[in-house]
Amino acid sequence: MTSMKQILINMVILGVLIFAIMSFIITIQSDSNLDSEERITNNTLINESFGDLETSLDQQESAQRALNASEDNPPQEYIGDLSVGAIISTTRTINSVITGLWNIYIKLPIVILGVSPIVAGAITTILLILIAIGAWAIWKGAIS
Amino acid sequence: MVKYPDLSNLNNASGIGGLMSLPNSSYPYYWLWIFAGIWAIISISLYFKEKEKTGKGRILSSMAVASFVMSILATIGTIFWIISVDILVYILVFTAIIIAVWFFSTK
Repeated sequence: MTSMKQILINMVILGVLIFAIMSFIITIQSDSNLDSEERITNNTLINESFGDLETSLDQQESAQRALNASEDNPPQEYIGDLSVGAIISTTRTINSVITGLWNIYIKLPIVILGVSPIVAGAITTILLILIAIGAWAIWKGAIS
Repeated sequence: MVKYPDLSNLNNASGIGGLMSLPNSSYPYYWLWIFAGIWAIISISLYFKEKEKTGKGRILSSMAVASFVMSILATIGTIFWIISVDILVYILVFTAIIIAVWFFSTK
């Protein structure tokens, strides 16, 4: 059983790796002058996570753009759907990274496999509860 | 929903890209299966090559290396219009899951 620290390190490295792959794809497509509807950023799920992340990391936020980005909620929300709000601060970057990773690891496979959104919401709820119980167990010392 | 090239787009100026995207007009997942076959070939041949050299093959790392290669090839495929955005997302999801499983299982 790997330690908690190793799991966290793996998750960070994996997040950077996925981000690098996505950046490679987006850069190659934009450099080859593809039509905008043939690019991967046209896909709504990818757009949600990486559009927000790019806005956060840009550091050129005007007030209007920041307001639009913070109001950019997913079009449909279900019970257990991860909808985290953050004010305009460094929390937004961390929020974008976390929700972006969640979108790619969990939401994207669920949507691609065609699972009903209610089932996806139930899975998300169970996952969040398990994470909360796991955090408690680590704090209590049951898991090192 | 998805814009696939069809026979009406093919003319003398289409070039290699137009010719390669011809199967998409009747069956959209043609190139997806071709890529899946190439992925299987690369991962199995890497596995047996490593087993021959070191005596112990790791299938998960072979699959992860093949997944990296296929994600790059799929990106190049979108430039030549043989792979559309939806197919690219399918390929990305599959390769990301393989890479994530490999990452969390190695020490």
